[in-house]
Amino acid sequence: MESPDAFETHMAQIIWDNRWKNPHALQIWVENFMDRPGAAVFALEHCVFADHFPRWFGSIVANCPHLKARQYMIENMYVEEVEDPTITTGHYESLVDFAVALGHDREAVYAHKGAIYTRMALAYWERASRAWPWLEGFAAVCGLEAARGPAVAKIGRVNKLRRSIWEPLGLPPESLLHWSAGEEADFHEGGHGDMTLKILAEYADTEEKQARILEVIEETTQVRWYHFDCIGRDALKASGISLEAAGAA
Amino acid sequence: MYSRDDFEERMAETIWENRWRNHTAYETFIKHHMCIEGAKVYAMEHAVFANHFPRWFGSMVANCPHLKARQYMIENMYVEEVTDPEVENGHYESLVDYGVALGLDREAIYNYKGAIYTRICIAYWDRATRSWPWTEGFAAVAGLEAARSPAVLKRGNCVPNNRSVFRSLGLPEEALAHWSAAEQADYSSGGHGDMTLKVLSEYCTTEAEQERILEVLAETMQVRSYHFDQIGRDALKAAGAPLDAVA
Repeated sequence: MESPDAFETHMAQIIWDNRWKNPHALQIWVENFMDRPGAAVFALEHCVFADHFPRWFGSIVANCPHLKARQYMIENMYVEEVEDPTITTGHYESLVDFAVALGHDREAVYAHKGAIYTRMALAYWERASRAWPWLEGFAAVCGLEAARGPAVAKIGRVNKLRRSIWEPLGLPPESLLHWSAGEEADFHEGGHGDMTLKILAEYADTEEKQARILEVIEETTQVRWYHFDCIGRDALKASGISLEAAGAA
Repeated sequence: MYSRDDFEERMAETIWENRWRNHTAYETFIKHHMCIEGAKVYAMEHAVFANHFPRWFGSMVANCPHLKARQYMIENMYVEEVTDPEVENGHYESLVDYGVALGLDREAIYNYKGAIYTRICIAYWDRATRSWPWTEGFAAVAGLEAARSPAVLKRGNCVPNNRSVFRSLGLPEEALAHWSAAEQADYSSGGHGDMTLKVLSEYCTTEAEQERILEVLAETMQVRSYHFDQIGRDALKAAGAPLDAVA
């Protein structure tokens, strides 16, 4: 069995290998073809994801017998659903503001259920949080935040969806508030990305649990990569870029 | 609210619109590029699906208060998991035999967990059966069998995935037993495909329930089409065929 520190490093490496080693189409689009039509595709799909993400914590909390772990998850839900200290309008609403600034109708954003690949990815995470033991659900869902945590970022190149990448779109500053909040919550030491690995390292206390968590971390990261790749392909199309020209075919 | 007959027609139409109006890369593969290497890709992914499919019925049975509907589901599970009257060595095992006849290793098939798109699809159906009311889970999962029901097939442009599709591979007859069984179970009047629509029309007795079932059928068919499209793309790549026709 690995020590907690070694296990954190191992998880970070698996996340990096499956999330950042090979760029997906969204990353290619962000780095080379960023424009409003493509951003509008991303915003619409990401709103669906953001609307569901905190609810998965509800199921994991329900299955978790450890108060300390539940406190962390409820705090995370609270920031996303009740009061985000860095945004007055709320975490999800600030993302909808971003989509509206890109030209979407607010009601259409609320009503959009996601492209079929988004719905499938949501089912993956919802099933993980409802049907699996809490630690595995936690790895599947919170592992997503870990992809931008410091332990992963120090391994190699990481594409952080921070405020600065959207600035070339020339949107009003208030429509980018969501991205400042994400930066504040996830990226730093002690942030959501960092804490995910620490909690997993604390509660995966047998060799079998560690092995299973590594499997889940690998799979959920592959699902996220695949989801971003699908969004990126649609963003490239919206930007008028062929997949071949983008190197994403 | 629709009458039972009208609702069955409406469901069949929804299934057809989302599954057969436009063909996926898989249909392109089987119609124009069928070969052993591409067939292996499909066999691997389909074996993962077939290994999970009957288990989803377990969740629905657990959630369903109606004995008659449970009997239908348990009978379906029984054929898939215990004794298939059409296949001596079992429904899933006959599919593995097909994979082995294509050159795949039996243990590798048992251990394979699916491409990431297959795993996501499986999560979709697993979630549907665990989390949704039983009729919705049933529509999501048994609805897949309805895609090959007479009410859907009669609309045209459907591509049956039956024994004849795989015959050109030149495999021994016994390696194709799985496909005869599936043909027998799903395609006929009173078969699984037909019965799915009949069960849904019996138990969805309000306008709201009918509307929700139509939504679920549309979505699950989109998921299935997406799944077949991804498998088809990988099969075409394995066959060395161009993806231009399906891009």
